Amino acid sequence: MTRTLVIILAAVSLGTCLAAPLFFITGRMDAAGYKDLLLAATLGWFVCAAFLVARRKRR
Amino acid sequence: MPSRLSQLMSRLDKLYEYDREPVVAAHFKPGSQFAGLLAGEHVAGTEFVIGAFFVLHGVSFANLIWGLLIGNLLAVLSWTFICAPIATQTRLTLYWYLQRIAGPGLTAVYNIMNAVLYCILAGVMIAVSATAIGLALGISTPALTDILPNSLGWVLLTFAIGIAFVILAVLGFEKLSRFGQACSPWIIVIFIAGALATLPRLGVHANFDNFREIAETRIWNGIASSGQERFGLAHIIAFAWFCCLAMHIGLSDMALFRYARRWTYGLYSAFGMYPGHMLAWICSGIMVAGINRQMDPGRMAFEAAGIAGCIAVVLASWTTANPTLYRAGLALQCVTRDLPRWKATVAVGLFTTILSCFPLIFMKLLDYVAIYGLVLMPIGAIVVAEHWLFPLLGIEQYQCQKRGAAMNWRALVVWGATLLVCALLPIHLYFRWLPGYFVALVSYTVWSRLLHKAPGRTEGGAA
Repeated sequence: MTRTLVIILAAVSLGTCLAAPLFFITGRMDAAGYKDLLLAATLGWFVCAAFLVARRKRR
Repeated sequence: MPSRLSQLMSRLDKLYEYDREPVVAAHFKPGSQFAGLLAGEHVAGTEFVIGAFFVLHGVSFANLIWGLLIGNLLAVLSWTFICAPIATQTRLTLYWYLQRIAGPGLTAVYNIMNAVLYCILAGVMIAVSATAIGLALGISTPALTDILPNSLGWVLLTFAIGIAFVILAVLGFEKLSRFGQACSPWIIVIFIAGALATLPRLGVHANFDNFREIAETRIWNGIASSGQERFGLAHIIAFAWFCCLAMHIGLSDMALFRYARRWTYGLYSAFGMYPGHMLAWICSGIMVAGINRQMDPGRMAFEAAGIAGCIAVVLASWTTANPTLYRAGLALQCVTRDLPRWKATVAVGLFTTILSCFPLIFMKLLDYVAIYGLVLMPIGAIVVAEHWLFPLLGIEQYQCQKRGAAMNWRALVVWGATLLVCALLPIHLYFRWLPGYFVALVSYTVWSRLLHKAPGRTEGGAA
């Protein structure tokens, strides 16, 4: 259950990384906001990836 | 001498002991695993440099797209029709198959050469990382034409990063390494995000209606930067094909494809070539155009994707450099007497770090990639000759193994002579490997055939 949730969160983080530049291109976000969102999504991805890797190792 | 060689081979054999037996059907992997592994494996820190160099070399947009489509297709076909079939027929790594063909002596030479070439590549990774970290510290990246370090700051920075990479490799942070591999989808996404965010700066509209026009006039406009040779379609095809020459034609990916259910799994390499190489090179080309064509991967990534971009540069470089340093350390440990692994890794890491101080190695990355593949390519030709041509021509296979010889001198001479021929060929460096491949293939086969017809003549250099 937790693993599934983390996989979903990881996918959302990746999706946000892709969506952020689109928000910037379409003018819905400025450059600084885009970079901050990208960084936040990146951190989200790292946390999820670290959790999944640690979990795989334990198994 | 023979006892030292046997000691060395015994150590090398122990290193690869796990891979000695052919892979059994129970351990075959599904195609989805190959797709994921290959897609992640082919996005490294060097991709930030390669795609950018295509722009600096004045490649036109049409040549880039056609060149990458054709060149990557040739690479995929090389994996599918050469590497994967041999791997699925033998179920062995190149290391063990080469022992049967060329003897333990030549295998040791091959391994050491591979380790040295890999160290240089790891040095490039350290230098690429330094461009990202140097940005935060205010240390400028060397210019495109620099051969020697441009400042003490650059030297200290590359040393600091090199030492950090070496410490992680020495400690054998397996978890961290696995974490790095898990990050590959994110790295691809950062490439795409960075390129997309650079487009408005180049004048591309939000609906992309003028993308082609901008691509042809402001990114891949066919004008080479000062001091750079202009590349055409043939250069791009050749580069995309030979970029992984050591892996497909050179057969080092037998280690991977021996787990494939069928030889057609070689087609999965397309996941590494198209969403991997092709996409990443296009993205880095867009990003370098966004910083007025300056070869500074760190600044390029920072301008395009902020701190996340810099993290991507460092992470993409480290994930490639870490296993490289680890493997090179193990290889050095094998050729030295009783040297602990950590000391061997530190020695290899120091050599790599010193190399990374010199901007030449990453400013000439494209040429280095060509040389790297070229040096190891003759071994692939020798294996193909022995595996496929020998049975067709009625030549006895694996003579070296059957006679217990330590070294297949024919293979060594063919390897050296092929490299000499390649060095003398009056054509561009990028195109030399192909005639060289046929030189190695034909000369090894003909020589073996001639010896085969002369009874009583045997391989020299018995162990």
